[in-house]
Amino acid sequence: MASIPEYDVLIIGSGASGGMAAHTLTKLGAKCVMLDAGPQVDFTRQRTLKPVYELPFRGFGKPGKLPHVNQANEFNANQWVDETQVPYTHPANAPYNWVRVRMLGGKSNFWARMSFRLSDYEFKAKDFDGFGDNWPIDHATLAPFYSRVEPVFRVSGRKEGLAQLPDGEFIEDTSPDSGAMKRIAEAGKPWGVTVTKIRRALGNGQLASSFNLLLPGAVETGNLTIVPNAVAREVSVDKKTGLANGCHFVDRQSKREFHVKAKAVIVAASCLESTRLLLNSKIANSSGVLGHYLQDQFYVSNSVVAIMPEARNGKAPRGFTGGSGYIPRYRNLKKGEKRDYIRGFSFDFSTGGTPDAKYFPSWGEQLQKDLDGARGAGFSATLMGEVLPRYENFVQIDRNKVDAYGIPVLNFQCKYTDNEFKMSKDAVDSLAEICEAAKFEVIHKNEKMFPPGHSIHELGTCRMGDNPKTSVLNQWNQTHDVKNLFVVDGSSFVTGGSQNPTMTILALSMRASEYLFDQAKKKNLG
Amino acid sequence: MKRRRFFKAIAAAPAVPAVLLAQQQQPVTPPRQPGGPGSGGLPTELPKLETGIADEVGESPAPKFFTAPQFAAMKKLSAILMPSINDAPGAIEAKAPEFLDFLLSQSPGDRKTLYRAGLDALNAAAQRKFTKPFAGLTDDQGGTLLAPLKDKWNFDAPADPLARFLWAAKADVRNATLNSKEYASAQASGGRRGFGGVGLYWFPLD
Repeated sequence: MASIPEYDVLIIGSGASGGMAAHTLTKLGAKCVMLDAGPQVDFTRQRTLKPVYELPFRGFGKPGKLPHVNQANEFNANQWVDETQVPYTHPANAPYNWVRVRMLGGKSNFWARMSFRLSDYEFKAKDFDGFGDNWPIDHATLAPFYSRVEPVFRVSGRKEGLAQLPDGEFIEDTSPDSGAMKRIAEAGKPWGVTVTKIRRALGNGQLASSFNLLLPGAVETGNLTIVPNAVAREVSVDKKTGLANGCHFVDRQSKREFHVKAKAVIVAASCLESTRLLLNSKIANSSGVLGHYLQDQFYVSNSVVAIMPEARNGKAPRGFTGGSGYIPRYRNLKKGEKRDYIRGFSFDFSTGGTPDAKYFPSWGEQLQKDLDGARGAGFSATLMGEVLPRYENFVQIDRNKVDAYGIPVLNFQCKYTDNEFKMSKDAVDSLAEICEAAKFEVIHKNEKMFPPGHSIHELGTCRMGDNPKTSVLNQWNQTHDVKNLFVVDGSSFVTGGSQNPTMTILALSMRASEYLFDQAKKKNLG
Repeated sequence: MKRRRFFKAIAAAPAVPAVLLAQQQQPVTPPRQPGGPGSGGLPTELPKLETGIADEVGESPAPKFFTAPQFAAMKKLSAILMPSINDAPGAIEAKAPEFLDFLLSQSPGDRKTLYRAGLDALNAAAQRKFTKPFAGLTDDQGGTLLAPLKDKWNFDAPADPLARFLWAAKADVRNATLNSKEYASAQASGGRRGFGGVGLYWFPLD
């Protein structure tokens, strides 16, 4: 019989946070084992180009499948977690769109690659407006880690020197701004608007993922064992020491139960799967806040849709349309700014497309004329707004329902509040005014957001803090209760801002992993 | 490690590594032989055959979801919403009504109700105004009953069931037409590139 391996660290999850933990720890020499609930996918064999008419439902998708995944279509339906296999519950009047991926690399295989830092407007939000709590760290603390993560993901962008959107180690985006971008920037000046390039992870080839940027290097060290199809059920604890000593998991294909042992455990299963695992394990919750302070970023796609008149009928001046841009937060940047909401929002926008047919009040030949006239002349913006972290928004275990592996599922209790609704209204109204000032024809505006969860930026529920009575993790992503148990994904966030959280998750995971290694070396983990 | 070597190495890894199986202190199931049962352990090579699609070889039978009056109204509505323009197939040529009949037969109850009630309301309105069913109207007459589509589109669906149905039908008829084989073929034969609708399809995960 083979000898039982001695793993230094068990990493549960292989997405951005788990991948970064493996990348960091294996290079330092730690022997790691990684569980992921999904398979390892061969992207070449798993996907094929198909015309939409060959799909059984002409691209509409199978009716009733993936009702909570607005991002799903008939092409990609199989990449998402099947809700019948891994269900969750919520009140009928408070839906939550929990969008999940189970495969090696996780959601990092599919993210939009928007790569931003948080600022001290987020890290020290309470100091600024008095609501909620500060993070136990600030931007200066995390900046060295952002600076090491950004080159790995090859983040492109343009430095602007904005306090609300700190610059990073960018591949400088020197492409010229289109005429439309300049027009919006000029028109937005009275509102304090800055228009910049989208900061985006270029990655390598088709992906900017844990799968191609983090895991290969970790495997190369010889220190990483990856176990796909391993659905984590419960973190195990040594009854004598109270320390985590491994994890019980179910093999996805055979449903056979296993247990893996390790000296330390990193939970990186994605925000809400991590919290679900800890809740099911009944650990790390002496504070009672595990599962609470659920937040995300509310999204409103096509919040403002406009037509650029000079581009109508294909007559756009050269260099006027095309390309996309980003408008960082421009509200509540000064203390005492008088608004009926706190915190802020940002937009990304694109120019040069054609507005959807639904925005034209016509049909038949007239609709075709309307579309032909507007072809390539469109402007549309997606609103991304900060959601306040509230104790009242939470997840808990639903003891009446289990998934296909016999694991109790999550119940969601989450609603947006007046702060988000008022923010959304102001955001859309102000951008519509800016578009009109830029002489664009606004043909549609909408402030109604998708249900919580839609942005796939779920955050909080296992938040960090200095006080063990009000937080689950300390500033090193280490649980207050169990010294050798770390949680390194988005669940650790105290506040989330309106920026895509991936760069922050990566930086936190790198920092926590180095701390874990250092503390293990000093024998401080119990 | 080069990316290709990483993929190769990881693809070769068993679902649960032997070292972990050892932790269970249970006998390990012998690995399966390559190839299917009866293949003598040889890898099974399956022939790759050229295949067609159902739309090319079969006719849709009579409507399964709509009643005959509803289906007649659906066809007329489709023709008005998405006529053939500049040699491009319209909804009728693209068999959009037949496809929607199939799609709705599989759709959740609220969607079914939306269409059935909407078409019934359209027929009733046509009877009231023109003493004919909707299918018997001219395009201009039919157009007078589509007034809700002259309102601006709103994120929240309209409260009026007929208006809600018309907005849904406008989008569905258009998509069913643009995503049809007939439309794609016409675009391609017209020398137009980027006729759309080609995407990366994900096979089910094992």
